[in-house]
Amino acid sequence: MQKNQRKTSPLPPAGEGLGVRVASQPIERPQIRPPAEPQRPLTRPLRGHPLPQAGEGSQQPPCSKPYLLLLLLLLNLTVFVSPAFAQRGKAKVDPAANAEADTAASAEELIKQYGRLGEYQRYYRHGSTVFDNAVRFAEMDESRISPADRFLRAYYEGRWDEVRTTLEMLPDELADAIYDRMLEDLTGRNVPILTLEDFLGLADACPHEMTSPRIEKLGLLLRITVPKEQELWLRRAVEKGTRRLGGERAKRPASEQATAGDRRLLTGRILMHADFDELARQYLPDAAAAGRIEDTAVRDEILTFLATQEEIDQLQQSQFAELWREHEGVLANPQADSGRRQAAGEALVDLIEQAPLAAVEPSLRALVRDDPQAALRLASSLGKRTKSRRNASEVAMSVNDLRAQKYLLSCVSQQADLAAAPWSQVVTAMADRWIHEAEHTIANAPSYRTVDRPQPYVASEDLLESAPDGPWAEALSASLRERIEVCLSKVVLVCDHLDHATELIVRVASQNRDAGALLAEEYVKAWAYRHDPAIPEGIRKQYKLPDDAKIMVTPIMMEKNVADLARMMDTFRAHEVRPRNVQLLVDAFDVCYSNAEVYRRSHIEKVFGPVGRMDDEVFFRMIRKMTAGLSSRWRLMDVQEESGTRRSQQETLAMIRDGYASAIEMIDERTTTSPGDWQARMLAGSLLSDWGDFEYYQQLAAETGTDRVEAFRQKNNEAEEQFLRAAEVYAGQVAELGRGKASIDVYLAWFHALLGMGSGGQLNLAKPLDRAALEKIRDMIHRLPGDAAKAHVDKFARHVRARMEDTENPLHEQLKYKYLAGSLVITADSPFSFQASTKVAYYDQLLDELRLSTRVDGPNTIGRDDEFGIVLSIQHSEAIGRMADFGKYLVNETPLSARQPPQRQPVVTTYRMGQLQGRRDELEMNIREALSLFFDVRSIAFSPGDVEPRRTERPGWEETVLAYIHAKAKDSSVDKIPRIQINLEFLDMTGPVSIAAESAETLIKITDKKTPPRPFRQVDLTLTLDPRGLVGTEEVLLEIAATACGLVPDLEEMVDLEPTARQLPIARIDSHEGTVVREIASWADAVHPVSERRWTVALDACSLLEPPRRIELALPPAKVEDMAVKYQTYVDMDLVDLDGAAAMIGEGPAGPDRAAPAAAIAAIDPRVLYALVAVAVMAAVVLVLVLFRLFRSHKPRPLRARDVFHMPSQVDGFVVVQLLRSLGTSDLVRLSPRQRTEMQEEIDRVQKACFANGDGVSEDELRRIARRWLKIAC
Amino acid sequence: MQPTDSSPTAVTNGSSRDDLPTGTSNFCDEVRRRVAEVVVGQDVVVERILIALFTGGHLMLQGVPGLAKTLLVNAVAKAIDLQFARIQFTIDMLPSDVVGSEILDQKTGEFRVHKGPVFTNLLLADEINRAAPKAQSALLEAMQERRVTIGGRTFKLPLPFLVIATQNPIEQSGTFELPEAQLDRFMLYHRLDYPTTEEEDEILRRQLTMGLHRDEAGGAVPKTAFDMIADEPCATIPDLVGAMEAVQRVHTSDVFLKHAVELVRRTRESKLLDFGCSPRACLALVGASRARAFIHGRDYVVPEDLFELAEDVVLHRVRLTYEAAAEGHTGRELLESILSDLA
Repeated sequence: MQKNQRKTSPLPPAGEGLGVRVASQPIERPQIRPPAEPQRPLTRPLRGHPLPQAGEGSQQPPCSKPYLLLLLLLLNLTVFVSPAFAQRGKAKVDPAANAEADTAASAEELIKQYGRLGEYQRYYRHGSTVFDNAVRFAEMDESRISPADRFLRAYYEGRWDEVRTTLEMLPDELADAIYDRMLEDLTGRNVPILTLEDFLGLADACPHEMTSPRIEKLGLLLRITVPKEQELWLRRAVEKGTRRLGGERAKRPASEQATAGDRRLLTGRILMHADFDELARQYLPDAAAAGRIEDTAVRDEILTFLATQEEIDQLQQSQFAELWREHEGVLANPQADSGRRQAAGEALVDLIEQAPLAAVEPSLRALVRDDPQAALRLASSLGKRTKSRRNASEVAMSVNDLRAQKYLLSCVSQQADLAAAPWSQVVTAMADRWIHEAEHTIANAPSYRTVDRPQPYVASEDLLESAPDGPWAEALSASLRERIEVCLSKVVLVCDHLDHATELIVRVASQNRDAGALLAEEYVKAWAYRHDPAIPEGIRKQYKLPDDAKIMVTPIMMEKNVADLARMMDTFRAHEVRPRNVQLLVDAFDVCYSNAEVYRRSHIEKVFGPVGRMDDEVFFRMIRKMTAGLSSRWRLMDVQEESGTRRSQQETLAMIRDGYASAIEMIDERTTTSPGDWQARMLAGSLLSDWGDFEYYQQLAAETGTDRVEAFRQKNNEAEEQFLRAAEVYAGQVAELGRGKASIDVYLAWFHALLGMGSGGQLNLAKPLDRAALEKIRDMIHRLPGDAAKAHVDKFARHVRARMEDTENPLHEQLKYKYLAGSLVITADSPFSFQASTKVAYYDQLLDELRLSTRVDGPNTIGRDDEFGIVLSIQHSEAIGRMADFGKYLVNETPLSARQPPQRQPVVTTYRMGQLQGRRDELEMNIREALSLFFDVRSIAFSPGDVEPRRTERPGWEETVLAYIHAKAKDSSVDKIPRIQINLEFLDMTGPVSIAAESAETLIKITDKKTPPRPFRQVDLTLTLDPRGLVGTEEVLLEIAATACGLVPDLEEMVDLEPTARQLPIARIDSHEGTVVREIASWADAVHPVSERRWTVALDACSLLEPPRRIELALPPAKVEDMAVKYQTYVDMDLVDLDGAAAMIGEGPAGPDRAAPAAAIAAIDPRVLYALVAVAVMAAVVLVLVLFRLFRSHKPRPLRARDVFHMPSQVDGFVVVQLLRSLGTSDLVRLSPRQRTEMQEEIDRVQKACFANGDGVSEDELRRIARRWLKIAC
Repeated sequence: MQPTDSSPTAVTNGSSRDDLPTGTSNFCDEVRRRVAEVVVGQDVVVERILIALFTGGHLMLQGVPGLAKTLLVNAVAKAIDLQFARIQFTIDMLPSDVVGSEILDQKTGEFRVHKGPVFTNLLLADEINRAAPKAQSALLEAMQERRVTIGGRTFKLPLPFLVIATQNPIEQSGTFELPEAQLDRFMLYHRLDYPTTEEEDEILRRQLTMGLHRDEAGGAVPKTAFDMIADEPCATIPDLVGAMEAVQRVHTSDVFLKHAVELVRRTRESKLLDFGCSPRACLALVGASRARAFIHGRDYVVPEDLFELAEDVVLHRVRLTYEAAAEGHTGRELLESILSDLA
């Protein structure tokens, strides 16, 4: 087989070459000849020699040079084709065979194959390629393998000699292309599999000159394939030497190796690129020898590598000294013209800017000492340069300039008087230069000041170092020195040495008090910035921290901060430095504190001095800040948790109370020393009002169990007292005040407190309006002497009008009506209250068209223990019904926050029920707030959001039923249903407004007498007998479920249990959760609730077990005539309907009870019967109770269609079709075949109308369809 | 999602069938009939294949071995006279086994292109999750761009071009799960279920009456369902194209589009999902609904179409969060919840 293959193979078999005869083997001619057509010439000559042209071959002598080269190529091919022969290293050529004409053709084909190797072949040596090629070459038929494949096999098998040999015999361009592609592929992707030997072989296989790109690639390859740990072996290998690298010459003196083509140089360069630095230095020439390398790129490359930092520094030093001498000579030369001198001066300035001061100092000192005139010229050039570079971005040069000018003046001061001409001009200019540079730094350095686009600036430390001092400062004018002091202070504020600033500020203040005060303000700002626990914005963004992220201020930090601030303030007070912006001081104090800690009086006094002597403005601002904290953050448990205080609610509450008490105490102390300070009393009134609100409305307060109402009342009374005193004191002073200084602050603060507008900006929307207190405000204003009363009323009215028109910080929609109506009590007479009165009239007009009302569902006389219902509804005109859309108050779809206008001030709305989700929650809160004092509110069933109004007897008026409140009176003293409030939303020209509509009180009578049941009708009663637990519990359970329009009455009102009890005594009756109101049916003829009630009657059935017997148990019959009763029982696990009110229970034969149960029972003495029943009941009750509980917990109420299917809130064709389909396929819905057909037709109709190209169906119609089928199905 | 009968109803509210070109009016029924001769049950799968054919989407079938997935696709291909090819994916499969490769003709020394099995109309990629991701992606590229590149030359795939891939449940050993980005390219992902008792009974009865398949040399082997596929097609590619045109005319109402968008949006907003559906899912949902409407004889889409197809379109394009999966939620349950909220 192999022989046959050889004969048909287009290429010679292994060990044989084309036209080559091996001495030991017979010559075999290739079987396939080259094509007969004339051969095309090779496009490229082999090794630079022209190939014979077509036709020339036969004319050329067989020994001509090109032909011989071709033969040599073929001979070489055989070398690696036959490894055995190659090892011998000799091949004998039969010259006679070289004359074969087909040889040239074969060579051309070979060239073509190798050309593909250079163009398309990839030489990756990744794991997969190496192993895949190993497998591929192993499976190849040796006799059919092509020369190109042999080359590739040698490459992948790491036979680099063969690779090299082949490349050597290929045309130059082709060999280079193949080799370069190899290097490209090996270095271009992932790390190849290449050993150290492979690398050396590859380097040796380089066909021609080792160019710089090849050296770089080989270096890179060496770096990625030979780790540093293998350096020892690499060292040995290169010492030993290969064809192209390293070798014995490595031991030669470095001076003998200087040519770029040297093997050592190549080795060194490759090692250099491979990061084997130490090894590379052994093979590279020294710097001197390298300097003689002709190739500039190679020389620079090697010199850069060899040069150390020290050498570079030395070089620069020597260059600098040389240049300085040169330019200094020109500058000092009196014969040189001014242009040259100026150029020399500028050149020296260049040197100063580029070199470190240490390098410049000796030369500068020598220049000043030897030639003062030259020094002046240099100073002039330096001054000019620094002027031109003012605020420039070359910061390093500016720093050098500043240092140089200071050093220069320092040197000069030893030789000359700086205060005298010509140096006086120079020192002023240089000081001015320093000031400008300092101001630039102050404006751009990141600090407490906000900089939009900061520019490069000289660091504050450099400025401090180069600041004018000593003789230089003494030579300056006083004003300039003061400017420098101020700048110095500011520079200190933006650097890290803030502590040094106090001293500077005090010094400045001693000379200029205003400048000192300004500096002190800057200092406070900087201090607050440094101590602010808020994370800077940049850091927050980088680490994606929340907006309010803060560093936790621990108690120790707090104490330290307070001490620090107090020390600073003490220093300022001692030197009478008073910052004018007091708010900065208050803010700085706030920064000291943890977010969760109430200010302590001791700390306030430590920082600002005793309360009695504290600056008025500081005192009031501090109290206001404290008030804001008390009404907002300090009372929040979230803040306490975030700050890690671990305070409980009670502790937080106590802290807030202490805070209020402390603030009041401070104000009292103040008013004791200044009885005429009406502002302090006003502030106390506001604080007490806030405190009262806090006591009553806050969630924290609600859980304390204290008498909240009493605390609320007490604090408000105290607040009113303070306001009255403040108003009286003010009234006493108003005559002395000028017209422009009249203030309504006290009346406004009082007014706001009454409205629930806290002094800290918080709103208490639930606070009722106290009309009597409003009239007191009015009286107090009218008591003002002379024209002051009218002026104050008008001013108050103008303020209300401005507040009403304020669009940036609008009144809360729920406050608007209360605010305006309340203000009219005070300002009704003022012409400026016209707008407010118009607006209030409009609101009242709206309220005239609607009435919120409550009525009892049934008679108003209610049994003390009876549950009853309250229907809450709105009677309204048709127009207002359309406008107000009362259905929106019955759903939670729109969150409350979405409706509120944006508030600039922090607003804390205090609710006792926690977070409200929407309008329905708000209404529910109002109902519960109103009723909870008198009634136990069991549940509130709201009408659906799409509730339709009902017609009323009054023409043009309708009634919208809002809710059904299922309640029970707390005791018999209750005699009315109190007022219930609903906040109705409208729009006017000032935005949304919420008006509270209140129901009238409804009188009721709670009686201890027995009353008839509450009205009910359409009772559906289902009695399910469950005898499955008979054997285990000796009980039979009778589940009774009732639904009714109205409240389901008690069990004895509906069924007669007597017949059943006669057969099996009743062990107990469990009434579960009582009456449950499921919904309110406002669409029916009369408004009524749909309620449910369930009972479980446990029958003692032990008499059926011994002996086992079977009886027909009579089930309780209905007492009411129009009641739908359904009897069911369990057969095994299945629920089956019973035909009548009797069921067979028990096991064994039917006992005599079936025939005459009543007679048998009647025969027993009633006393014995009762005793037996009592004993049985007592014995079973405990066991049954436990088992029943267990049974109950495992037996959930069966799901019904009405639990699953509801009227969708948004209706369209899609929703309705799917609803109908769901109803049609649900197991919970029972429809007759006719109804199913009808439903399918309805679906088809809606689908066709809504989804085909039809006219669609109106939303009302869809709603009607959905409602109709829901009613049918549920 | 509610189980409904997926077989075409007799309701002809629309006029789509009348609008079809000659020869395509009974297209769907004919194909279904032909398939039903060979395959028992699996009406839903046939419907899904037709939807994929009409819309140019690709279909993934998941089911345990032996549910007649291959037979089904084969039968559909022969019924419509489509070129059919099948690739059995295995773990050692290379991309070139799918798209083809350049091979060196040793006689001429030139490279010539050998086109792979992907050059067909209907390609069954059997057990696609058994192949390594590289081979999977080769096919998925072809699916996306409907052309392949071999040796630097680009070839267009014949039209129509539809890939029906099958995969075993990923829990099985030796499988590679397709990444979500690749699954997204399948318009529909249908999960096959076992046949009903009656259908299984019918399968057995048919097998009993098939007899032997004899060859010319006198040998024989029992016939299988594959031998029962009629060679004569009942429809042609022009018929298919006509049906495609009719699908393009199916009316889609605004309210339907609104709810389709809402469905997709809700998958993106669900906190139980790592990521929701892409816009491609929305397109697929509407496109597939139109095709289903056509198959059911309507010229407009109805909510039922959306509800029936939602699982096949949506479920493979969403992924539960780790927490949701740990809490025992399933994608199907979540989708049911979204659909329930939708209506």
